[in-house]
Amino acid sequence: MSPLQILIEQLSASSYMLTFIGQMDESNVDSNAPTVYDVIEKIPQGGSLILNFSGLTYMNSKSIGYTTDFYNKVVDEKGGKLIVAESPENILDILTVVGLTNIITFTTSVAEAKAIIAGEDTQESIVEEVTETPTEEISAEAPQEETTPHIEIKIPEVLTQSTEEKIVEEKVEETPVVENIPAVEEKVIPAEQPTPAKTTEITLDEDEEFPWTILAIGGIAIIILIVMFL
Amino acid sequence: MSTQQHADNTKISISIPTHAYFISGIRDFTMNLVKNMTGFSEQWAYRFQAVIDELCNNAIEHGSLPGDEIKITFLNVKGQTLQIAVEDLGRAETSKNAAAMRLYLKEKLEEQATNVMGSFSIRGRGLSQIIYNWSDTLEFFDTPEGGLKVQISKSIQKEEAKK
Repeated sequence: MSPLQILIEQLSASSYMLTFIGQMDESNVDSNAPTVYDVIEKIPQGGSLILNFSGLTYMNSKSIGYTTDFYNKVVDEKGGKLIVAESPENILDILTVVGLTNIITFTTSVAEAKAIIAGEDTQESIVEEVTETPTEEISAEAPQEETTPHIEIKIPEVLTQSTEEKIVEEKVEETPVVENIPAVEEKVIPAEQPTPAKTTEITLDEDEEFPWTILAIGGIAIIILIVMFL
Repeated sequence: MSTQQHADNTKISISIPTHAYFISGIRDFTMNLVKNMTGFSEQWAYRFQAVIDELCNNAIEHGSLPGDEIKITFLNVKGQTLQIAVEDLGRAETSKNAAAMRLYLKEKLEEQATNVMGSFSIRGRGLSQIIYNWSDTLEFFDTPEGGLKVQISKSIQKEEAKK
């Protein structure tokens, strides 16, 4: 039997990553498929599964068939997302020839795949925060209010950049990668809201603190000096 | 295993028991053969690995009984073509003869043409998608022993040659 190892990693309450190491072929795919189905069983509606193929050296047509079935179960039956990450060139080649690259989302790195999933999770939570609170108040406290306990994704990294600019950046970066990502970004609060407030404040301060008294005293002193000089 | 060599032509025949366990060894052998003897690129070495794997699995699953043997033959004309043939004894209940296989392939290709997104079934991609797409010719022959011989060939084009 060809060697195959499947590592299971829970990324969050709703997402898992399976890392495949070895060869997936006729001799082992039937006996290993139940491992994947067990994980899919645990994924809630709308959850995500990353198949990390970085350690995979071979997969045959039946393994490809199972991969489409995993996709079917996660995406069609659970309304979730399945991403294949870090496929070696020969694996990507065979997945391309059977047409899977037209159906499944592929990423060149695990980080990218995680970002896609995290993007969905965090953007939803950001939207919740932003809609209820002024932008300046979203700071280090926000991550503590995160409700999903197992999330590995570094939400603070997203939120520590103080304004919505980070959210907009993410939107720009992710759009070409995730074709099927829901348009969560559209809910983002317009970035212009806080800025006029700051401008107005500066104007008011200048008006209030203008040194009229000093000017008057100075003027009088100059007049006295001129009179004395004459 | 038998080998015949004439100038740049090499013919290698291997018989293996009908068990999936042995196929990974055939894949490794194919990789080395293609990389070192044929002039094909590494990408094509991986592709021939997949082709031979699918041919052998089909021969074992659909053409053999436990304890039978299948025969694999490589015919390499260095720098020009690689021909691979896999023969079974045709003793499985699901065995098909050459005419039935030609019809089966035709139907599968037509099915694929109308279903652009691809099939969601677990089986049925090996012959019509992997073997068919990665070979120039794909032929079926009935053997004198009552089995099926599936033969593919691939000529080296410029872009497929080893750099």
